[in-house]
Amino acid sequence: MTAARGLLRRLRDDDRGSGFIGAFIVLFAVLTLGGVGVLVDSARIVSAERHASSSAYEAARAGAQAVQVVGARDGGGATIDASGARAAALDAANGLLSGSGATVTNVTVTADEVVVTVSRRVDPWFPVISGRTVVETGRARIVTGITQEGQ
Amino acid sequence: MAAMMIIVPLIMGVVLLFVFFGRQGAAAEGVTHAAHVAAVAAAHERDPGSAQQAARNAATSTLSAAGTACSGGPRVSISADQWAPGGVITVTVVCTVDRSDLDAIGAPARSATGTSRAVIDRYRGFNP
Repeated sequence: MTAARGLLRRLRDDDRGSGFIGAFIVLFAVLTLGGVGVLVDSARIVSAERHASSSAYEAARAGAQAVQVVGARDGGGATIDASGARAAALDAANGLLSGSGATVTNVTVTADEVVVTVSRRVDPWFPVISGRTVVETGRARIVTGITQEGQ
Repeated sequence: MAAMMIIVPLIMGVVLLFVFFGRQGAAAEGVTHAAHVAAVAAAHERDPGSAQQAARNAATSTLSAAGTACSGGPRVSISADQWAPGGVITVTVVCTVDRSDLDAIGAPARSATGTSRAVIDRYRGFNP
């Protein structure tokens, strides 16, 4: 403490270059805040992208499990029940995304694939970088013939 | 000279501040990713006990592979609305970011939390 007080007294008694220090500190503080803002907000955007993409992938996987049971049982191979898959994907997405502020913007179902698009708006905390909407796509394909785990 | 005595420590402090926020951001992204990996790992198991074990292992090894150091290790909590095919598993990973080397700027203890969910396969043997 005494060292700090001594330093303060020396600084107070010495007014050479004080204008420079004042300008420097203001500029420095603004640049520091700006740098912290870029770090914090870009991290939040990356995190939102990660969350949106994993949710989209999980919703697609849930949707792709709606197979046409009758066709598969008759040996016609597994195809996706389009309306069932859409409902399953939306239902799963509801559970997956609740409370995160993300929404499902598109669900596309083909014969063997479900594609889910999730978007989420990220508003910055610092007025340095602009807010943006992250859009991530997850796709899941139906596969048969996996009869054992491992290998 | 007096100016240098202020400016040099200030710059060093700001560098440490950037390290602190950068690490915080990396950890926030890391726990979200670890939670996702853990949720998928849990959804691939066949009973609740091994699902929880798999989730814990996956989250811990994902974080350490990403180089995110959590003081006291990451805390992983796993729950499911139903432990049955079609159920939704929720994994939350909390990491108190290590700041032992940032004492110089008095960095506060901040924790990063990531949550992810995964659906248990509908056509799958599962013993609740």
